[in-house]
Amino acid sequence: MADTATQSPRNKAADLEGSFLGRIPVWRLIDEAGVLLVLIALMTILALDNDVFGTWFNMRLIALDAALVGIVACGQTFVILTAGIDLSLGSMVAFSGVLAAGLMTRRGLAFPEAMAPMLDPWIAIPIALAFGTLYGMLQGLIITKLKITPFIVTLGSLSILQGLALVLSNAAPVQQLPRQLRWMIQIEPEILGLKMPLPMPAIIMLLVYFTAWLVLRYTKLGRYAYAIGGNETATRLSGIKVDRYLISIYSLSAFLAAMAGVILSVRLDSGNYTNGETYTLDGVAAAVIGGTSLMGGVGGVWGTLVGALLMAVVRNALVLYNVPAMWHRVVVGGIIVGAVALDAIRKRLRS
Amino acid sequence: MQATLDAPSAPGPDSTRLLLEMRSISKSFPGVKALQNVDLDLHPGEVHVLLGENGAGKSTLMKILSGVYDRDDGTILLNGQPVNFHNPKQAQEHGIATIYQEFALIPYLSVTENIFLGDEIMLGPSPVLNWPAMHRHARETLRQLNLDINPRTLVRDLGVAKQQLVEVAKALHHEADLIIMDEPTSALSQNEIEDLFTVIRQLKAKGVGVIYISHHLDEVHRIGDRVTVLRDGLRVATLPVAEITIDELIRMMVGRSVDEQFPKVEIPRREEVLRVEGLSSKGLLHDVSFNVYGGEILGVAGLVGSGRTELARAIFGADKIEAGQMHLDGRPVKISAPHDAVDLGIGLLTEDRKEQGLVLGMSVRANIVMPILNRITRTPLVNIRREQKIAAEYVERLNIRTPTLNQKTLYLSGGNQQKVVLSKWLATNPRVLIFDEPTRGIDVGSKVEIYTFMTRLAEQGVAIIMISSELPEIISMSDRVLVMFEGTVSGILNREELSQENIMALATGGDTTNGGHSNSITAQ
Repeated sequence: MADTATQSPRNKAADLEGSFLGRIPVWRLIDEAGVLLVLIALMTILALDNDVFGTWFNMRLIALDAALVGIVACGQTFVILTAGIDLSLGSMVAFSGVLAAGLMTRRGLAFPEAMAPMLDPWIAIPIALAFGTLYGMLQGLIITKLKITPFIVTLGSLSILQGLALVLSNAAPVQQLPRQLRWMIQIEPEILGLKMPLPMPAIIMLLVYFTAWLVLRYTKLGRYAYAIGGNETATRLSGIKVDRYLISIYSLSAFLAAMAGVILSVRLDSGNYTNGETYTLDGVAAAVIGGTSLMGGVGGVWGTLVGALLMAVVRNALVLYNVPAMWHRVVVGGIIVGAVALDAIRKRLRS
Repeated sequence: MQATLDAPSAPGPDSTRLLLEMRSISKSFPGVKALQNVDLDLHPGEVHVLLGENGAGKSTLMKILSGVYDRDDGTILLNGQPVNFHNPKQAQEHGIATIYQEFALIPYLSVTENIFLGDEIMLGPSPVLNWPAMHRHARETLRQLNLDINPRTLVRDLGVAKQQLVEVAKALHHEADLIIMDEPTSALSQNEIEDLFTVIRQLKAKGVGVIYISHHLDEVHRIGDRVTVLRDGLRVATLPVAEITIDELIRMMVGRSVDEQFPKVEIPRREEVLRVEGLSSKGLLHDVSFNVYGGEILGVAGLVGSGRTELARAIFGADKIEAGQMHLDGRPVKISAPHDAVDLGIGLLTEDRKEQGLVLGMSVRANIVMPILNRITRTPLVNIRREQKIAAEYVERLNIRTPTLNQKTLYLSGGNQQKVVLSKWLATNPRVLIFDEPTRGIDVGSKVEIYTFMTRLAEQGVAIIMISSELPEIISMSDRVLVMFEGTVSGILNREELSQENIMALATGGDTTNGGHSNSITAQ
């Protein structure tokens, strides 16, 4: 998945030195498929060893588990590609969920019920998404115009947004969301009369990833994300409005997190300040496992998807094998370090 | 060896024995023979100057000596014993210290801490540091070199020159008897250079041998005992400095006449393209005014730190300016960010292409089209097919050696990287192109190609500003030369007034009449 922006269809200038090019893609495929091979191997072993693992039902559970953190991780990947990081995304999930749920149910908002409007979901949800996006834009402005490192700005936001979720919900879950929203969390959705093999959140996630891939590959925003992460100074000195693109990227990642937040609150039927608490670091982990460099400029969204799936498969296996829930975080943490370490060793061996 | 510490004049080297003998050293890199059968020796207390163009093999030879590279062939004898270093630490343990242009000191530690780094004195067998003893030793070492530096000072609070002397003290503390100095004076003022030379004379008196790499040819006679010239990986000659003149040295280094190196074409000057009036920026530039015409190459000369790069950055909108106006083609323009400059048709080839010119992890194609993506298409999309076409055109025109357009620029040679940067700016169809040290660190062949392109651009009416530290380049390629000194314009010389003496006199703050002994003459 490395280097999506610099790949391109075969070109005529390739005959500058044809034989050399002929050898590259094989390496490149293996190189990029590294974590994918791990995922496939793991799933094969589990399917052979466990009767339940391979069932469609279980596959749907895994996809459901990976879906929302996957959407957050997709936005995170854009930010990390620019050599930044957004630690506020998990809190954004909570904030947007509480805000949307509060606006739709009139419950739990921090101001008197009489003043609170009860909005149609088709108004409430866009408002929640817009707030999320605006907040991301504000973070981008602070990062670029005041030149404060993304780590600090988003660390502050991690606390601010979770605090706002707490205030907005009066520290209690906002429940009983409109039933008409259930379509977005169906396990076996039907689209145009066709039964889908995946739950709705996973379908939404795949759409997000496909769009993100197109954006990275075929738009200036995508090109500049890699360029800024690779060398921000050189990009700026090439006459590119780096600040503007960085602000867009922080807005985009906040938007995706807000979207995940709305879906999560519907799925749990609860807008709560603890929603998505683990999504920030799981999202970073998915991106890094998938080969996106924290130094910026290298990586891509498909790797992140594989990373998110790998973590979901591990969590699923832990349940299937009756590992006590208390141990799950330990194992998942170990997998994160192990996967990246394996990749580092592989790269060192090759060079 | 037995000379006293305070000897006023440099004692001669002890020529009765050899500290170092390198015999027929060879080293190849893929596609390049970096060194072929090169010999070099050094007596205790001797300063042996190593000269050569960029790429001649000086650095490779020194990296072999200091254990960074393994040699392919040849022998190294240290004090008559054959040695074989596989890493820098082994070389250090044998008393070989290297002082690089970029210093290896840690800025937020004191002088003492830096001198003792990795070699701290403990209080007996305890893990507690013995500060009094370390400060005492550090002071003693500094005193031996007659350096007036408080060992408790943080290194970052010392100037560049003092930091370099601390490096020397550190080497001395580690009982180095062979010190390699790689262009030690490139960032120093005249007075600081004199201080360094005093310290070098003291090192000589202590019997330390010094291998001294420099581009400043006048230093050969001031500090050297013998000189070795390398060219294209071969040793051209080794001679006592008294037996050779600077002109002869240049001829040995370059191996060709100056005319072939600099394909200058006289181009009739056209109308004024860029006029800069009263440009000032905080602490860096003061009231800089000049103009440049279409078809003209305006050289910008000056010492390191005189504000040349800052001038380029200010014009380009990369740094904030406090005052000043700019006119492009007679119209006033306001440039507050690089994208304004690019939109107006001004390009900047930065001094440091790896740090500022290229995104090394991206392809040749992506780098070339970077500034013109907005012109290729107004939509948010990229048009990879058109990018391919444009990039292929420049790869062919500039003869960029790359296996494919999708090769990462990281893997290209310095000369080809510079051509990618040049392509990127050519693609913008510029009115003004600023070259900051356009040929630093690239091979002679690529240099000529870059000069040729510069000339061709001038013929098309582009105004060219060329910042360079290499006086022969400035003198040969420029139509006029703007000389900077401490952030001001100290003079603008016309082509017929160009000489190393005139430029150096202005660059050091004097006028053109008292040039002479203190002039730095930079090779090629």
